Amino acid sequence: MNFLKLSHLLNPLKINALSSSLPATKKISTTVMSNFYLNSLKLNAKASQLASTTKLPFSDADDKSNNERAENISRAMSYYLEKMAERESLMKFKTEEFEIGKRHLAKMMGENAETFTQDDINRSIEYLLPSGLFNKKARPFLKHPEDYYPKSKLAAFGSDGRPLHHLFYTGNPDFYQIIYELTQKYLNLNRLEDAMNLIKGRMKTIHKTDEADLNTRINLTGSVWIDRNKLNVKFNMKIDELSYNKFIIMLQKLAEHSLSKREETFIGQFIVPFEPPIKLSDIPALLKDETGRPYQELEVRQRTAIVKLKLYEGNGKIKIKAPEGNFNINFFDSLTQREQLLFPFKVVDKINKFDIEMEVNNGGMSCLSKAARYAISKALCCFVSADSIEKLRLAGLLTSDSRPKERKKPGQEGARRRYTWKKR
Amino acid sequence: MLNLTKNLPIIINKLTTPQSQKLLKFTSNIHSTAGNRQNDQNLKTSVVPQKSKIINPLKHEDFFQINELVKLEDLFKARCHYGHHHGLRCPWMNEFIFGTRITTDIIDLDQTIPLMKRALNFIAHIAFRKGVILFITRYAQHIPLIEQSALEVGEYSHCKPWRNGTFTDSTRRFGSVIRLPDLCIFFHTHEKLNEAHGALSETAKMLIPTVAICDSDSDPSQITYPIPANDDSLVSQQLYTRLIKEVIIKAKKKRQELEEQGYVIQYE
Repeated sequence: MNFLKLSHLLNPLKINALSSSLPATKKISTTVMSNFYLNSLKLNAKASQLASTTKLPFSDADDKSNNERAENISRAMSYYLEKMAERESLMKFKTEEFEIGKRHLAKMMGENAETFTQDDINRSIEYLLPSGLFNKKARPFLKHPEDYYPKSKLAAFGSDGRPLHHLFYTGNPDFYQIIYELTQKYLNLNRLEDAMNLIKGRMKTIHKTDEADLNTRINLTGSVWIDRNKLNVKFNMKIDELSYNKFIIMLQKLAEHSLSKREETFIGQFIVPFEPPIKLSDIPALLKDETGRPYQELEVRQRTAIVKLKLYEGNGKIKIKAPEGNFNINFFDSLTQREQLLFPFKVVDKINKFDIEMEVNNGGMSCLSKAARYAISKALCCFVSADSIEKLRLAGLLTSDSRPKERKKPGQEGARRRYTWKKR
Repeated sequence: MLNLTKNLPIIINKLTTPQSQKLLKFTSNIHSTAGNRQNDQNLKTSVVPQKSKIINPLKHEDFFQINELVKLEDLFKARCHYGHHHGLRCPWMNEFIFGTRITTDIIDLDQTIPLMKRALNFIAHIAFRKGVILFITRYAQHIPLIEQSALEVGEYSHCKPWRNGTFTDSTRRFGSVIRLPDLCIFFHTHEKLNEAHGALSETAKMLIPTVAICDSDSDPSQITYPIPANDDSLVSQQLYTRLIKEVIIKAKKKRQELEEQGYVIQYE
C-alpha cells in the first residue's frame, strides 16, 4: 500500500499538509499499517488542519505548495466569522420573539397588530405592568433587539489575520492615528520653515511674532479646543483625561507654529466656536407695574431659605418682609451681610439706583443674604448692558451655591461642632 | 476508490468532493470573484508543480543579497560605534566592546556587521513568508521616524506606552482572537531610563522572535538577533530604518516576482 493513497482516503483535501507534517521516515515505512497507525494518521491530519489555520511564525501554512483557499483564513478571522454567525442567529431568534410578543400585546390591548408602533408598546406596558422602580432602566420594556443588544464591530483584520491598521497593536489605533498625523504635520512644517529661512538667508526665529507671521499663523480667537466627550463622540473612540490633555498640548504647539495656517483644515477638526456661558437670549424681558414702572421679579431657594424678590428702578430703598414683620436693611445684623446685599450694585456701579422689595422665609441669616445677593444679581441682568453682565459673571455672582446643608454627625453637637469637653 | 484516485488528476477529485464544495462556498464570501479565479489558477499550479520551478529560499546562502547592503563606512559615518558611559555598561555587552575612550564605550563594528547581516537576513525571510513585523521603540525623538517607516513598508508599529498583557493576554485586550506579530524589531530596548521594554519579556513568553539594536547599556541576552550598535543618535536610527525598509521591500518584491513567474516556494 502506498502512504499517499491511504491519506488520500482519510482526507483528500489535505495531502500536501499531511505529507509535510510527517517526518520522512514515516513516509517510507508504510508497508504494514495497523489500526493504531491509521488512528494516529487521523490525529495528524487534524493537527495539520489546526496548524494551517493558526499561522505560527515557522509553520509552512503560507507556502504556495500548501496554499489552499480554506487555509487562507486565519484563526483570527474564522473566530470572528463564527462570532458573527452566532450573533446573526441570535438576533434572528430575538427578532422573531419580539414580533410575536408585539402581536400578543396588541391583542391584549384590543388593537390592530399591524399598526402597533413602538409608542403603543411603551404605553401598553406602562398600563399593564406599572412599575415604581426609581431607575428607568430597571423598568419592564419591550424593544427591537437591535436597540438594546451591543452593536457588532467590524473586523480589524483581513482574512489572513493581518491587521488593517498600522497602529493596531497599540490597542487604540484611531486616537494614535490622529497623533501620528499631527506629529508628521508639525515636522513637515518645521522642515518647510527651515527651507524658507535658508532662502531668505536668516536664522530661525523661535516664537517671535512679526507681521509676516500673522498672515501665516492660524487665528484661533473666538474658538476653543473641542472637549473630551465631544472628541470621543466625533471620532468614535475612548480616550482618558491624561491622553486628552497631552493631545491638547500637542495641538496647541502645532497651532502656535509660525506656518500653522497651512494646516488649517486639520486643526479645524478640533476647534469649536466659543460660546459665552450666559446667552443674552436667555435673559427674561422686563415687566411693568400699573404705573408703567419697569421691574423684575424672581424667586431663589438656597438650602432652606426662600427669597422672593422684586427689583425696581429707583433710588436705593430696601423693604424686607419677614414672618416677624417688615424691615429695611436693618433686618441683617452683620455688616458683611449688608455689604453682601449691595455688592452686585457695586460691581455694575449702580448703588442707590434700584429699589428692593423682598419677602424672606425660613433659613439662617447668612443663607438668606447669600440667596438675596444671587437673586439681585440675576434680576440686575435684565436692566444692565452685556458688558456689565460679564462683570457680574466674572465676579461669580451669577453662579448659584448648590451646596446642601451638611448633616449632623453622631457624637457631635452639629455638623462640625463637638460637645464641650470637660476633663472631670 | 483507490483506482479512481490513481487514474484521475488530483485537482478534479478535490473539487468534486462535497467537503471541497462547502469550502468553496465558505471562501467565496471573503474573496472577490476575480480573486477566486486567480486562486483557482494558483491551486492548479500548486498541485502539480514542475520540479525545475521549486525554490527553497533557506537553501541559498544569501537569498536577498544582503551582503552588499551593509558597509562599515556607513555604520561609522552614522556614529553607530558610540556607546554609553562605561559605568552604564551591561556585562553581557562586554564581548562587543572595542574599548573605552574618555569614559565612553566604543562598540566593535567588525562584530556588528555580521550580526547585522544575520538579523537583516532573518527580517527578509520573515517578510518573504508574509509575516507580521512589529516595529517597537519608546525613544521619543525617534517615534515619528519609526512609525513612518513601518507604514511605508506596510508593516506595524507600537511606539506608545506598553500595556502589560498586550501579547500574553491579547484575546481580552483586543476583544477577539488576533494574529500576533511574527517578528518584533526593537529600535531601542529601554522603555524608561535603564528599564527593559515591557514587550521584551512578552515576546519571549509568546515565542515571538526578536531583532534589537543593543547599545552598551542594554541586555542582549533575551534577544534572538541582537545588533550591537548605538541606539540613541537619530542619524544611526535613520540608517537602521533605511536598511530594514530596503530589506523588507526587497523580500516582498521578490515573493511577488517569483509568484508571477510561476515558481513554487517550498521549505523542507
